[in-house]
Amino acid sequence: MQSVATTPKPEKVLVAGKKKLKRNDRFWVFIFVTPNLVMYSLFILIPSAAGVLLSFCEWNILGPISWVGLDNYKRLFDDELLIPAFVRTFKFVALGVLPTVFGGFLVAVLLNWKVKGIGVFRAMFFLPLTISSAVAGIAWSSIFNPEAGWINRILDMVGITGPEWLSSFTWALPSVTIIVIWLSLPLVIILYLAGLQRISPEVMEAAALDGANVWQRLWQVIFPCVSATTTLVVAIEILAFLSAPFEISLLMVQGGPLDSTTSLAYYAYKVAFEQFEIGYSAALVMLQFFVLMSIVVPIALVRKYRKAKG
Amino acid sequence: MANSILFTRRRSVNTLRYSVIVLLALLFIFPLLYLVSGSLMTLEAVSVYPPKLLPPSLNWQNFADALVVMTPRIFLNTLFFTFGILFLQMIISFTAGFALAKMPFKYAALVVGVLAVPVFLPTNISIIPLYLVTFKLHLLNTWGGMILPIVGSTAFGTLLFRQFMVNFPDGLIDAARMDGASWPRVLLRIVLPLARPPIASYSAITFLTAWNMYIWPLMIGNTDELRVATVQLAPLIGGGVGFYGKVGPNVTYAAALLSALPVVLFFLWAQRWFINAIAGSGNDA
Repeated sequence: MQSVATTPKPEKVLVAGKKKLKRNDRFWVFIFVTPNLVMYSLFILIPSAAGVLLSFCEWNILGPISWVGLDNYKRLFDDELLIPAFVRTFKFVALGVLPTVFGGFLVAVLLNWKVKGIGVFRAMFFLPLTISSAVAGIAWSSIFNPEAGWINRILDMVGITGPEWLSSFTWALPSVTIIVIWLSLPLVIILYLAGLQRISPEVMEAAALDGANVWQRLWQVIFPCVSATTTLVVAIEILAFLSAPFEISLLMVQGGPLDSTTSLAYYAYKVAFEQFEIGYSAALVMLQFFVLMSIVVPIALVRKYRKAKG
Repeated sequence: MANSILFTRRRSVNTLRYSVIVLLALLFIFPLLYLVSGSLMTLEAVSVYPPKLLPPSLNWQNFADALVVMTPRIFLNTLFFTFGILFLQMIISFTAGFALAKMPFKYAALVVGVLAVPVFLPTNISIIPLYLVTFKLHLLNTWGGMILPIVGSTAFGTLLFRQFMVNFPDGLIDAARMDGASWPRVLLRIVLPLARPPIASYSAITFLTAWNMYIWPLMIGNTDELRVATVQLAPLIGGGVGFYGKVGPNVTYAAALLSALPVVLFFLWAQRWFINAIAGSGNDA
């Protein structure tokens, strides 16, 4: 790699000195690595392992913890609330991932342009990245407000009476999805911009964004060039839409109205913090994990296979 | 002749492209633009139907009123929370990242593997056990409980710094070692001065994440001494009542803007590092 790396090491160090040096090395490795590993084990590794173990236990926080084997997992099959929560999770992913990926790609193509002032517009598209869910909640609840909000005002102007959005059983889930899309787009745009900048200038020249068939060339020439980015982005966004609607839903509608935004993650939260069934809640989170894995692992394998093929 | 025709066609296409970008960008950040506009309206102006795009008169008083919500104490809490996490986590991630890449350490590969293990586990799986650990350590409702468990998520920083160190020239380190420099000295005098890019990327991402964190500070520090901006603002969503009584939507908007301002300014100032940090993670794609 670097030519300096191959410089032969000095052989003339005394044996005793070497031993001392080695002890010294070990001491400093210990000092450098231990605080990290202790903190990581204490606050991430052990709690995660404990969480997995709790899915095999019954516990109501106050009482003792008892091992129940696979009971919590068996219970998943009899849970009438689980299927609807599952369906809602699927709806979040289905409604959210495609607009985020394709929208992000199109905006990135537009922004991938060396022209004066483009930085300002890029920054505008990146802005939601910096916004907390709480601030996004305040901004969007005003936009979605059924009586005084801008969306219904604009619908009103074209003669449509808009729905109640966040307080509507039907429209709450799409509304939350829109907010999560908005929060997710900056990351997708940034990743696609990075991907587009790796395309060779000749290819970009050939696919110059003017003339006839712009749309066709966009999808047939440019989009295949960023397929690696697309795989990554799809995986990231599936992960995001499996979990991110939880925080928005918690902040804005508390899983309602009438459970209409209660995803798998939110349902697990409710079982833990409202019904205090910690073990069953953990099994629900594990289910979410298995769902994620069953989607992400094939994607990763396909990616690896493609890479191996060249 | 042909050239000039091509040129005009290109120019009109460029104008179109520019207009689309401007329009989309404005539409995209409209929720935030309206937040700014509404934060400068009087209560009457912000409550009428149809809603107004621009404030009829600039009512700066809202920002003074918003200080009742976003008190200096809340700002200080959020700053302390954010920078506490940033510095503590950076120190232990930087040193470990260095040791894993450049020091003679048999188990380096094992440690890297262990760090990557829970990446895909939903964070919710650990939140109750994490709460329990914090409780057992007597850290509930303390700064330690707010900050230390978050500092524990060292995987991102450690792997980021390790990646940088792996590509760091061995020659510089070997030369210093031969001159008798101790490991801490190598770390501080040789590596640290050249490590600005990964430190900047790490700081940008961590600052943003910590400043906007909600669930953990809500669980651990929902007291006047510890409450951070997100926890303070959350009850106001959709016109709710906060910890300090009711305020109008215009004041709510002003408070939301005040809480977002530090991150937005920091982002605009250090945009490059954010982009590097994020795009860098997709570089191997």
